[in-house]
Amino acid sequence: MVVLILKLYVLLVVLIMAIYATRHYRFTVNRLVGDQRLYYQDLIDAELPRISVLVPMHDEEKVARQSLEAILRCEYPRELLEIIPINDHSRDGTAAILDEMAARHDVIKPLHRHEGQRGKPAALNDALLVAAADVIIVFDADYLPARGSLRDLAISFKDPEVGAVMGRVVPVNTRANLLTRLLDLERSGGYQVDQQARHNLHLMPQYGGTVGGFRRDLALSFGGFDQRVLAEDTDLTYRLFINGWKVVYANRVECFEEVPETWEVRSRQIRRWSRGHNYVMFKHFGGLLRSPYLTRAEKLDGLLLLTIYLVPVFLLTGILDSVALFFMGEMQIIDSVLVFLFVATYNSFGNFAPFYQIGTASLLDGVTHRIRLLPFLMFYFLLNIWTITHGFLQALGDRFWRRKRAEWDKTKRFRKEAAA
Amino acid sequence: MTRRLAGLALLPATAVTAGAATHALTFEAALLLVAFGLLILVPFVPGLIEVWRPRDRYPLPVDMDYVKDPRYLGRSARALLAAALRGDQGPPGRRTVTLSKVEAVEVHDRLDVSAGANLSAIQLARGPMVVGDRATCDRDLYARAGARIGDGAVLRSLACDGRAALGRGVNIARWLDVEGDVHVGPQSDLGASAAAAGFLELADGVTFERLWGSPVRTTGFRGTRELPPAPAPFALPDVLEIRNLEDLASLHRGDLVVGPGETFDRPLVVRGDLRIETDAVVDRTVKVYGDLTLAPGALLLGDAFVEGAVVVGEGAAVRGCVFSQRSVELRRGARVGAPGLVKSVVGKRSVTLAGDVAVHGYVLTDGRGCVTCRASD
Repeated sequence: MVVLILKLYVLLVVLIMAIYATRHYRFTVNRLVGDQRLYYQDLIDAELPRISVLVPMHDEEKVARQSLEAILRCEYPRELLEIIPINDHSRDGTAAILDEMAARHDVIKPLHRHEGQRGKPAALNDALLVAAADVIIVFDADYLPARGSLRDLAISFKDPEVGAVMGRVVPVNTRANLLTRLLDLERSGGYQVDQQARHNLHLMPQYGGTVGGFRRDLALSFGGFDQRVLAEDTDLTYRLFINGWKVVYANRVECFEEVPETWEVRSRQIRRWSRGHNYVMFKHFGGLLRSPYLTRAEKLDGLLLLTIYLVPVFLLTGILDSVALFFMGEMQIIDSVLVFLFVATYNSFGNFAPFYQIGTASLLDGVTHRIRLLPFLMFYFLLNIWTITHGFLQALGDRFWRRKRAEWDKTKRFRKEAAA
Repeated sequence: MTRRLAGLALLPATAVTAGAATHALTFEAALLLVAFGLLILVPFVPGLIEVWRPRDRYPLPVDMDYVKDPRYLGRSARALLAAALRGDQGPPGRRTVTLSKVEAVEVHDRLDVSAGANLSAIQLARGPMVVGDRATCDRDLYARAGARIGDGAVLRSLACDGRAALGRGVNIARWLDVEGDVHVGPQSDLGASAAAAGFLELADGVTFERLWGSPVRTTGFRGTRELPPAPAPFALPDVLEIRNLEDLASLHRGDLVVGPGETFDRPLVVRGDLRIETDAVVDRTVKVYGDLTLAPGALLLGDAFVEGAVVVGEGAAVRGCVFSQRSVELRRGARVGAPGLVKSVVGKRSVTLAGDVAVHGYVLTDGRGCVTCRASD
């Protein structure tokens, strides 16, 4: 009986990998030869919405000034703009920098938080209560938006169905080491192919929590951001779709970000994402399937996106399962032809599809030599298998022990000096 | 277990115990292992070279100064030329300047290009510019006063600080940018972009990709039209009452026809086709998953975001923007936007304008734009 269960589990893992491989291919082929939907950036409109730009900051003295100056350089009618940097329990010089900049620029209205829970969801919730605009744009403290970013993001809210918008992040510190270069490749695949294809195919582009925006009233009507969730962006994405709104993707709205430069920091970051994302999976699985607003394609895509941080867990347990079966002399799962087909399918598609997607993204971005690093992603994926599984186990703990709050683990900054 | 481990090491199980044959088999096995290792390594070799001697390690380029400007091409060309000439007030003649590459610039007080002439240098006219019929120029033209372009002329691009008139069948390969008003003759092709600070008037048969004007209008234009003011913003319900899309928008599953007298207090989302009947007024923004048709005389006071095709019928008007993932057709007498109220018409696959059409602002298509032509033209 145990052997039978182990064998069935191997088949299940192969099936899951085949489904995700097909998804990768579908997206990649769409970006290569499919119909590309326009985003709203080409609209020129004399009537723009009023916006509040929120920038959560915890101990961000290295980057705060540069980030705010980049936002100030953005072209947007000043009478329709306010910038709210949120000093979230900072113990360094962040507060002084914000106050000094606020004294020089009327549009900057800092919010200092010294009480209550620390973390991005809690900080955003407080800022939502003081923000004056209907449209909220969010940037992380280390992000440097281009001059047209605010207008290009805000214009999408003219569409009454849009609940949130997401732009593209581009790693700025790619030169640092091999890890940053691999993260650069991964980001390309995720945005240039994955997000844009989902936008093209009327599926579920994801609001990523930064370089994006949402309607203030919707976020408040959902009770603000759930402080138990470490992936508040994914949580908002699902709340919006389940309740009938759309998230649109703006590939042209590009913004530099800093990616982790050490494997340890990256591991912590992705573990946090996995924990948060899997928590959201438990939270919205049923609601997604029951939503009367979503098409079947949206539900399927939403389901695959919702469970994407489960795939490495399946893969790791599938490998352990295979090893167990091997040493038990039970690798003869079903007829050899079918086994061959499964294995061949997995090797051809399951392993290869993400690389195909990332290679295509690099092609679309017009870069060439960095594609040579693609095989190194294998090591990166191996690391992910473990860290994501760890995050999944933490999410299970959150779910079953019903933790009221999650500890926010701020990603370490690597920028050497803030620009004067 | 021994047998299984031997299998793992690519050795036949017999080799583990058969002493005499062990050396030969071990050598073969070692060879296989080395070959296996090399084959595993091969895919990493180009990557190792890239790590060792990086050729592509810089961030993807992001233009931090990018802002949407429909007159960007003309403005940047003027700025580049001005910087290269550094306020040159010298006598007319030929100069050599460095733009994106070294270029010849011919400076004139007044430029008259004879019919059929072929110019191969940048032409700068401090005064008026007249280009004869069928003349060609494969570099930029810049007129600091008015410009008149003859029939059938073929130009790379034209910047003009005064008013401009283009004859019949003029072909502009890249862009046109004019500080004043522009008349474009029939059957002309305006290339990638045509912009005017004043009006941009297009005759029949003109083809285009991007247009910018105050307004963009077509032959037979019979004046601007007063539109009712925008309705008062939709009064948002109390935040706690918002649960789903239907709390903020009027959602219709399937096709919808709006007749005269029907009013809406919130934006419309239609998961089908929407037809706004003659003399009907929709005073909110609409999002349409199918096609949108405004019958003759219909009025839409909000924006239109449409997945299908858009037809704005004769004499119909849209106060807001018109955005279609397929095509936009503006029929005779149609109006988009209003004087002083810049709006856009975007049709991904095509934009077709009939006579007496006005768009106050911007027109864009990734496909084919034309004036009074059929889709099959």
